[in-house]
Amino acid sequence: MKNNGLDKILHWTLLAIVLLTAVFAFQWFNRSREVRSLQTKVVEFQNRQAMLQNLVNECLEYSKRNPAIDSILEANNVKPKATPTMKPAK
Amino acid sequence: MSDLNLSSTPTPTSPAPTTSGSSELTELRGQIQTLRIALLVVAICLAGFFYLEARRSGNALTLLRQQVAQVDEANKSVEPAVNRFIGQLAEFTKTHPDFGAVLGKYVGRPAGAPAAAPAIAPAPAAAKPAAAPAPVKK
Repeated sequence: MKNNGLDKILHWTLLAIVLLTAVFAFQWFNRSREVRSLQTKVVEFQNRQAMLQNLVNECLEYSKRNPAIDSILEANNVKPKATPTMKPAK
Repeated sequence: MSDLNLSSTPTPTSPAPTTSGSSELTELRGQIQTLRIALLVVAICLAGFFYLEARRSGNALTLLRQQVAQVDEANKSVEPAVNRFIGQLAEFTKTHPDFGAVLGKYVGRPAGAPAAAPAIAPAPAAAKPAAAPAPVKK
């Protein structure tokens, strides 16, 4: 009788823990999937930022050879506007 | 006589199986109990592992959600300016075809740009040695 009671306790404890394991595993799986998805999004954004930065750098490099692009760069605050040299007041 | 002998022959093994079977049963019960406890310990460890991993993922998820919200916000505010800038560069390419190669590396071939921009001046970082032969164009 005593043994039987211990058996029952063990049995139900085991069942409860198996259920808990399943719940935690499911949570872990879902959260990990979402984390991966969000990480991909962040990496895409970072890649885009890097791409834009490279484009800006190349534009600045190009502007050294062809200043015609300066108006676009200045209008977009990529390149500081050239301040006109003012003559000192007499 | 022989019959008598046979019938009166004591069977020493008859009580023994009962005792042995009972002890084996007890032993088996003990083993099952041990195995159950071992299984319980393993299940507890597994549940603990999954719990910790789920919690760790939950924390990472909270941080990442905030980060992605910021990224989205920044993206929304910057996107129109970036598109306008790229549009202006594409317009610029129409009058300066040599810039098409630069822009083409990042946003694909802009509208109006030649398929292969001739006489591309290489960027200093990607400058090739002067002795390198020019690629043959068809």
